[in-house]
Amino acid sequence: MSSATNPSSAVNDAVQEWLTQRVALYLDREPADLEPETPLQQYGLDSVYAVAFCGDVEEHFGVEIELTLAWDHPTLAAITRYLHGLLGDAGPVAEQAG
Amino acid sequence: MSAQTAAGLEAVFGPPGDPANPFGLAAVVRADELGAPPPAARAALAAFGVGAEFVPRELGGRFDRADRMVRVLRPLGRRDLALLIGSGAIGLIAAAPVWVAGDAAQRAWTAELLLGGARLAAAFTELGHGSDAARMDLRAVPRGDGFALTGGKQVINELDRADACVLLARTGTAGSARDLSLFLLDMAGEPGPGTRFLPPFPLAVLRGSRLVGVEFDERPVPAGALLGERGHALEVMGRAFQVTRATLPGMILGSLDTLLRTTVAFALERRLYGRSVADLPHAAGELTGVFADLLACDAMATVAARSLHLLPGETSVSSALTKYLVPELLQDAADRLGAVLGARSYLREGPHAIFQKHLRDLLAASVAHTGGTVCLASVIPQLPALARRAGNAGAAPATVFRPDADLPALPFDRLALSARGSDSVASLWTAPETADLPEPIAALHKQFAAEAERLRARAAALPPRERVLTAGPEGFAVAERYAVLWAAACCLGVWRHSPDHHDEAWAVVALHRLAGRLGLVTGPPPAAHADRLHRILLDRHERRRSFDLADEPLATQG
Ligand SMILES: Cc1cc2nc3c(=O)[nH]c(=O)nc-3n(C[C@H](O)[C@H](O)[C@H](O)COP(=O)(O)OP(=O)(O)OC[C@H]3O[C@@H](n4cnc5c(N)ncnc54)[C@H](O)[C@@H]3O)c2cc1C
Repeated sequence: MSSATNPSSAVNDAVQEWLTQRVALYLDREPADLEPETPLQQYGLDSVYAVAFCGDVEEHFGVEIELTLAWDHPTLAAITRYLHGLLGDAGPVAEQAG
Repeated sequence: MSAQTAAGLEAVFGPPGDPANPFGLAAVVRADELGAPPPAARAALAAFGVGAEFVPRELGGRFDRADRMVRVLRPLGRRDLALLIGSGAIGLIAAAPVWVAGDAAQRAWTAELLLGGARLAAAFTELGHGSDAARMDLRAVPRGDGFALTGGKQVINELDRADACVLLARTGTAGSARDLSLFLLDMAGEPGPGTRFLPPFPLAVLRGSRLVGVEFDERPVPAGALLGERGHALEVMGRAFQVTRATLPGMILGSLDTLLRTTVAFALERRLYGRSVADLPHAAGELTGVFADLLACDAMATVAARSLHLLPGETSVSSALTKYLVPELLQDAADRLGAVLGARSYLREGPHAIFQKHLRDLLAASVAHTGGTVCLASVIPQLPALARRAGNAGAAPATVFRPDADLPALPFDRLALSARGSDSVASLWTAPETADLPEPIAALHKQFAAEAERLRARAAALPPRERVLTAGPEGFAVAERYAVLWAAACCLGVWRHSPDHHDEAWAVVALHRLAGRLGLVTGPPPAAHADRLHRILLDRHERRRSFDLADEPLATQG
C-alpha cells in the first residue's frame, strides 16, 4: 500500500511512531500524551532542541535535512508529512539495512 | 584612513598611567565614580571612526578580518569596559543581523550610519524573558502596509539616544519558532508616536553605560523595516550572534591586561619578608598563571574570530565555546589577582583603584549579550553529533591559527546554525601525530587526546533529555570539558603555527593549566617553563608592552 493513495499508510505511521517516541524521550513524557497536530513548542520543547532532534532524524533516516525543519514543520504530523515526501516510501535506511 | 585611525585606539587614548590624561586610567576611575563615560571619550571614538570597524569592506568600512577588529577594539577593553561595550561593540551587536539578513537598502543605510558615527541600539531583551527569546512579548501587528509595535524592552544600551535600532518582536502567535521577526527601525529625532522611553536603570557595574527601557503603544513601523523574512528572527540571530560571540570575548580580554598590570606593579613595589611580593613563589606562580591564561584566552579569541572566515559551518559551536570559556577564565584570573592585591583590590581611590572598577565591570561584560551558561547550553544539543563525527572534518587549515595571515571576506550567508558534528580545531585530538612535539607538550597532547576519547563516550551516552537547552548536570559537564579541550587545541595550534614557536614556555604553562582544569594533571607547571614565562611577564611589564599574543607597545608619555 502506498501513502500516495492512503496518507495513513503503514510507512507513514512508522515514521510518525518513531518521531513521537523520539520527541517523548526529549520531553521525558509518554508517547501517548503527544497529539500529532499540537505544536511541539506547546509541550515545552525549545526551538534549540531542533538541532539535536534534526541530528537524530538524519542519523536514523539517512537523509540530510534543513536544521529549521522543526521550525517550519512545528507538529509531529507536519514533520511526518515532510519526511514522508523526502523519503518516498523507502522508510528508514537503518531499518532496511537491519 | 586618517592618521588617528592608523595609530590605533591606544594612541588615541594616550598614556594609560598619566594622571593628567583625560582618557588615562585615573580619569576612567573618576568618570566611573560619576556614573558617566570619561568626557570627550565618545568624541574621540567618533574621530577615530570606531563604527567603520564593524562595516564590511565591500560596504565602505574597515571590517576585513574579524581577528583584526578584535585587536583594534581591545585597547578600549584595557581602558574601560563600559566604553568598549556601550560605545564600541554595541555597533557590531546591532549591525551583525543586518549583515546577515538585511536587504541592499538596509545594508547600505546601516553602513552609512556607522561610517557617519551614528549610534545604533540592539533591542532584544525583555527582562521578563531573558535568554528565552522564543517567549518575547513585544508584538508587531500588521497595520496597513506595515506593522504597529506594542509592548516593552528593558536594559537596552542607549536606545533613547539611538539613530537606529534592531528590534526583536513577536509577529505570530502559533506557538512556533517562526513567531518572531526582526525589524530595523529609524529612531532619529523625537521619540516618535507611541513611544515612551523609561529612565536609565541605575547600575552597580559598567556605571558609565546607559541602559534604558522603552514602552511602545501602537508605534507605526513601515513594511520596509522588516529585517530578513517574517518569522525568521531566531535563525538570523542564531547566525549573527556567532559573529558577536566570536569577537566580544577577545575585546573584553583587554580588561585582564589592566588587572594583571596593576597587580604586577603592586607586587614589584611591595616588599615583604625582605623581598618583593612578585618574588614570593606563590604570588609569582599566580601572576605567571594568569599571564598564561590571558594568552590562552587570546588563542581562543583568535581562532574563534578567524573561524568565522574559514570555517563558517562550524562557528555555531566555536563562537559559543569562546563566549562561555573566555569570560570564565578571565573572571577566575581576576579573582586570583585580587587575592594577590589583597585589600587594595577593593579600594576606590589610590594607585590601584582601577582594579576594582575592572573587576566589577568584567562580571557584567561577561553577561552582556548572552551569558556563559546560555552559550554552553546552546552547544549541548550538538554534542552527540560532535562525538559521532569527531575527526571526520579533517584538520583545520593552518591559517586559522595564524593571527596576521590574510583571510577571505567573512561569508555571512554561510554561517550555519549547526556544525553537523564538524569541529576541525578539536580534530587535533583524534589524529594524534605527536612526533614533532617537544616534551612536555607531547605528554600533555596525549592526555588531552585520551580525555577527548572519554568525552566522546560520555557525549554519545547522553540521554535525549540531557541533549537539550534545559539539560541537567551531565550535559553541562560534558560541554564544559569539551570547551576546555577546544581551548587547548587553540593554544597548541596557535603556538605550533607561530613563527617563534620554539619559545614554548607560554604554551606549556597554558596547556598545563587547562589540563589541570580537567583534572588530567596535578601540581604546578614545569618550573623551567614557568620561570621563563615569569621573566617574559616582568619584561613586558617593564617595557610597557601588552600581555596578549599581539605583544604591542602601550602608549607612553613624551
Ligand atoms: C551591561 C549590559 C548591557 C546590556 N545591553 C543590552 C542591549 O543593548 N540590548 C539588549 O537587548 N540586552 C542588553 N542586555 C541584556 C543582556 O543581553 C541579558 O542580560 C542577557 O541576555 C541575559 O539575560 P538575563 O540577564 O535576563 O538572564 P536570563 O536569561 O533570564 O537567565 C537567568 C538565569 O538563568 C540561567 N539560564 C538561562 N538559560 C539557561 C539554560 N538554557 N540552561 C541553564 N541555565 C540557563 C542564566 O545563566 C541565568 O543564571 C545588557 C546587559 C548588560 C549586563
